[in-house]
Amino acid sequence: MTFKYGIRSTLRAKGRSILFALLIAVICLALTLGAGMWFYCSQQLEILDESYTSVALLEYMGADYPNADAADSYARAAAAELDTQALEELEGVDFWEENKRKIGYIDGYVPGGDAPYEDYALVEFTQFSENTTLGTVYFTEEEMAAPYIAINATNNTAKLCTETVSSDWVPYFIESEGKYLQQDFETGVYTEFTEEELPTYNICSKHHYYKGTDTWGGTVAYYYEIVDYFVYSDGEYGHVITSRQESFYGRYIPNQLICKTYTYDPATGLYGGEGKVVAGYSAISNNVLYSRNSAEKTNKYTAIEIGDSGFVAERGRRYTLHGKYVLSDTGNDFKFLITDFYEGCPIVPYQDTTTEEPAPIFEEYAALYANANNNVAIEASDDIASLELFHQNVFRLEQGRFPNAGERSVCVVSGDIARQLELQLGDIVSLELFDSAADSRFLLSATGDIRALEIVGITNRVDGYYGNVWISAAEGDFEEELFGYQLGRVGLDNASAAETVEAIQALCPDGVRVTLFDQGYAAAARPIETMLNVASAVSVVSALGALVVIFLFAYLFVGRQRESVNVLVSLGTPGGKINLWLLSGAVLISGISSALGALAGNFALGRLIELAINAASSMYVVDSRFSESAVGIVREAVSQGSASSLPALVAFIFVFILSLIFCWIFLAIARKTTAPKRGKLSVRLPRGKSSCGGRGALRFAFLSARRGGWRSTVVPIVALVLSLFLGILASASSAWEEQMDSLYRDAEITGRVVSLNGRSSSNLTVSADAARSIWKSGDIESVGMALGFNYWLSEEIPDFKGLFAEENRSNWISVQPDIVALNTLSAAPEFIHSRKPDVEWLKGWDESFLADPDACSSLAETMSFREEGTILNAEKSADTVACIAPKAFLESHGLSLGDEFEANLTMSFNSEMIEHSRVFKIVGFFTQLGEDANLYVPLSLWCDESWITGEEDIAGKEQQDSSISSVESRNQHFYRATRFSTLIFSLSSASRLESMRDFLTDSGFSQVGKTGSDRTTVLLYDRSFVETVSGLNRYISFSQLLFPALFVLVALLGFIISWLMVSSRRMEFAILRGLGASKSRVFFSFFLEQALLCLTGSVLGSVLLLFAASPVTWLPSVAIFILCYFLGAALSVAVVGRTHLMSLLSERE
Amino acid sequence: MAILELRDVRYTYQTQYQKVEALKGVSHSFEAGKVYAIVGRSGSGKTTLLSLMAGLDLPTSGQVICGGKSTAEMKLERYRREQVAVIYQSFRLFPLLTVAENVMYPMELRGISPRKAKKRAAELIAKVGLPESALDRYPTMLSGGEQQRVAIARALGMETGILLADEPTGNLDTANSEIISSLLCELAHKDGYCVVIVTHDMGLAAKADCVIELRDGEVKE
Repeated sequence: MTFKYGIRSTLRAKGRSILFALLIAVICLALTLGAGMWFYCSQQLEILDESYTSVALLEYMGADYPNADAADSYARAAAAELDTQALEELEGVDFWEENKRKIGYIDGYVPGGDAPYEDYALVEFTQFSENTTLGTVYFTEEEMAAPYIAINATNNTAKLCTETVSSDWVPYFIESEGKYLQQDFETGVYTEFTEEELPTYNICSKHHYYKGTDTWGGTVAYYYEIVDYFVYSDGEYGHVITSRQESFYGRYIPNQLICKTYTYDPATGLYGGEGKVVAGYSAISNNVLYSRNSAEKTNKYTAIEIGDSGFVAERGRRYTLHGKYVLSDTGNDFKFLITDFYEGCPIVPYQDTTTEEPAPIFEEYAALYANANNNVAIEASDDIASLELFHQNVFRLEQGRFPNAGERSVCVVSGDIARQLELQLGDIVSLELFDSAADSRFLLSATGDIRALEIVGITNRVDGYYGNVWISAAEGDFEEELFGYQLGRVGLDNASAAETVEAIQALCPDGVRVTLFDQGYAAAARPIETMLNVASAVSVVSALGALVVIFLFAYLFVGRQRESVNVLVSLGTPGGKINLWLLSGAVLISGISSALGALAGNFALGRLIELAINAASSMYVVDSRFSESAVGIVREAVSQGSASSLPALVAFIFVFILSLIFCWIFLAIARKTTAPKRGKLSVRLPRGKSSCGGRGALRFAFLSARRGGWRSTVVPIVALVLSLFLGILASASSAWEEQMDSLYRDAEITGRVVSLNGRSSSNLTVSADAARSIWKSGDIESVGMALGFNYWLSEEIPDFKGLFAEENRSNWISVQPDIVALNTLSAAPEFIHSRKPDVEWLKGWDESFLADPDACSSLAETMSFREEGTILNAEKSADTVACIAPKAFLESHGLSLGDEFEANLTMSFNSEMIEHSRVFKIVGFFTQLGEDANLYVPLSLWCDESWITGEEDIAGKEQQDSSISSVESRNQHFYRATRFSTLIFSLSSASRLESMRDFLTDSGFSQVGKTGSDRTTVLLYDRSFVETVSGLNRYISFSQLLFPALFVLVALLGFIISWLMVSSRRMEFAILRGLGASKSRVFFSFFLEQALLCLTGSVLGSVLLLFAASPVTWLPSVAIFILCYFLGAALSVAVVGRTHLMSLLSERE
Repeated sequence: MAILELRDVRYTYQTQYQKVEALKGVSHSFEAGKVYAIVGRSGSGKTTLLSLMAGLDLPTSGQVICGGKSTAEMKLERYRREQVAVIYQSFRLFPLLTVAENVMYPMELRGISPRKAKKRAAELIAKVGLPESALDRYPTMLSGGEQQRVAIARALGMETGILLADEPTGNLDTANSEIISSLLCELAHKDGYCVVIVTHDMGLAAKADCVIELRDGEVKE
């Protein structure tokens, strides 16, 4: 019965009960949605965190980057310098693992694809054919002491004169008479020879060499004159052919000979003429000591080229030859070229093995090639899945698992090994480890370390990757020099990867680049993180709301039931029943409404999550065209989580338990206050005289506010806190906007042309057209360009001799360091990934000379051209070229600042290799970062910066002079021949980023991993700018959304607080009205009190805010807050003021 | 001559659960210089009648006539401010205003300057027999009898000629009840106020010049 009456008495307070039932249901709904969303987002983030791996690669940007087998001492020095301990201690770093690779060998495995010694072979050949012949023979300078070279016309062999021939006459054969005649050109007398009497020498040649001057193009050149005496074998009289040949700075150009009969190569100092020499044989491969594909190369009829080995075969004998398989001239088949074992090897690379075993060197080299070619690459790691090849999805595990950290005697093999050797999981593979020589990855020596490893995983097969084995770091307990440029990698906490990478970069030595590969985690996680934050805020606000609502609910439904308690007590109701009376109705309302709210929340949650994800994702749509953030693979976002009913249950329990607790507390209070008070009554005398500080409503308000005690402190404190909060938020919002402005104003966004995979920013071939096109976007402020030419000093070039002297010389030059023409040191390949070097300058010099268009005469000005546009020759320029050089270069050459030296450079021009020498003056030196002693010279050596950045379009300009004699015409040729090896640029303003992206897209430039119509790949370094801007944008949007909501909340708060403050003074309203005060006077009496209190707090808050920020930023917000609070207070006073006057007489205190 | 007159006053109101007919045609005249006591059982309509006389509400039908005009024709605020003063059983003083301020407030409502109001308040406080020291005290620091005397002083300060008292001694002990009832009679008989007292206290009613008994909303003659 008590229960029934308790419920009835509660429910009969209809309006109040419905209001609070609704409030509790709504708050429980909000809590369910907030908690549900939070739960879902946490779950999603966990799934994402498990599915994605963020790894930062630490790479040294060396001269041969990204060659994984380069032996670069600078990369090794950088690896040694790297403070790995500090790296590991960084927050957000899960692990650091250095690159640990080694060469190994699995018996029987022969990799496909390219291998270092792929084409070298040691083969025994038999059944040699007749020799074949080749047309040219060469002689040395010393041999030319006898100034005649002869070719035996009879047997078509060429031979050097060993004695002076008495005359220059050339005998000729009169076939009809069967005799030879030789005419003395001076006397006209013929001498007759029989075949027996015929001299060995019938063609003679004399070479004259002199140095001359010509004013062709106003330059100086060398000349050769070759005088050949030649007789045609068809019996005509001999005649003299004279030709003059120009050289380019002393370099003879053989293919420009008019007379093809004889050639001279100043590089080798050899003279040659057409003739027939032994060139090679055909033979059948018999016994293969080593070949990459011995099965196919046994019993094969093979063309053998003897090269300059001097090999001569005799019929019927067998020979073992060292050499390499090269493509035959027809291109359809291989031929075997005999080569030395190594340069300068004293042992000839052939041996007659008809009766003897091959010499030991043949066996040794056979073993070396077998080892080097049939190797497998071993990589050791405790987190193999995070190795670049796996992380970037090149390799994936198709069977089995990865070795666990610390697990020994197990391995993962690549699919090609498993397939070739027919291996399966659980099989044991024998892996032999080899040591590489310090300076050569594939110069291997056996260690005798052979390991039996069980295969626990097999990967897919990937073209271009052959023979890969992965083992645990514990199994990889070997020491190995660093080859390549990957120093190691850092496993990162996904959530803070971008920040951690910045910290890592700060720790890295110069030249080391840190690249983050997060598999798209950030893009996938950011919307969910935002949702999580919103969900947390909603949950907290809902929980606080629940506290307030339940508090009010308990106060009104239980705490204010003192009268009922008095009655119940007076009736002698037992304590338990009084509790039941009071709690039954309240608990019923809170229980049912919170359950309904939770249920509704549970139903709405799924749909809300979908909406929220769409909304959040749209907030995070970031344009990543051409952005560095788009480098690396992006995995599909996973979505495995689902809405759970648990949050609804938690919300229901939370609200219900809370209502029980509060009801219980107010029950205790209500029952306690029914007991008579004991003790001394504390009274407080008013201070001083009555205030006469105003009239009417204002005075009443002022007095009430002043004497309100604790009640008068609540509003100012709330106003203080809220005005501070809103003021700080407004200041922060203003600061964000300011930050955004300054970011757009000050942020420097750079870009580069890179390789299509984004790994390399140098050694590119960027045409002048592409560079000009990028510049013409109009979004570029500055552009840095560099292009290099191999250089060498004349005294350093070796004396190349032999048949392949020219090729060897070209090869030697091609690996020489570069003279780099550039307009800024930032564009130097050497410094593109590091800070600019500290250059010690010659007095009066600085970096600006690199961009000076008049720094030196250009090659276009100093070259000679043929009419068809090819370079005919070059003259030595009169002016010197200022350059900066590495300190080590100066030391090794005994040079110092201000000194001059002469160097040769090679350039490719219209498919020709041109050599040129210039005098350089050292105006600065620096410490080099790579192996190569590169010199840096002004861009004007090759081109004018204005070709790219100027208004005038050189390429499009009509060619004025078809004879290429004008500078304009030559410039056009050079413009077309321009191939920049690096190109960097800066945007004029960060605000141009979008238009730059549009321009690049419209112009068809390629993005990393995404080819456009132009293969020039552009990468914009905008990650930190875009992240900061999008972060700020979100804050600003959030604050713009938040402020109106906050102001509504403030108005609501003003209403609630004022209502709470004045509702207990309802009787005062009635008294005033009873005394005849007008409604407006009564309203203002109370409203002004609230306004005064609010103003007091707000003014205090404003004073404090003055110390924090400029009033311009926060004053409007504080003012709006005050207005909103006033609005709420006015509303509450108006509502409370509706008290019926009859209560004056009917209500008892 | 009647200073206040009730003509067939009826009052009906709607509670949450039922319609109540509190007054069923009450008619009576009240003259200056007399004390009237309205008595009756609980629920007989005494307080309702007083609230209509005080201008806190208008009768459902019938008229409350003061100075020849019905309250329905007057602005009630002005009527309350200028024609009647009410003394409540629970004193109805402003807890946050001092005694002086409580008394001064209705005077200031009528436009009297604070200085004059303060002087008059001191006189009235003396008149109701409170010491001057009480002026600056808060009502909560006074006894029930003292608070009621402040309420009377406030009523006198309104200078209305009609004093309506709702159980003025209801919350007071016998001694204080005696003081208050004597004071009210004195105000009627000496100062010419028309004093209407709603009371259960038959002792107080006995002091009245006229006793009106209400029974179920009607005057029992």
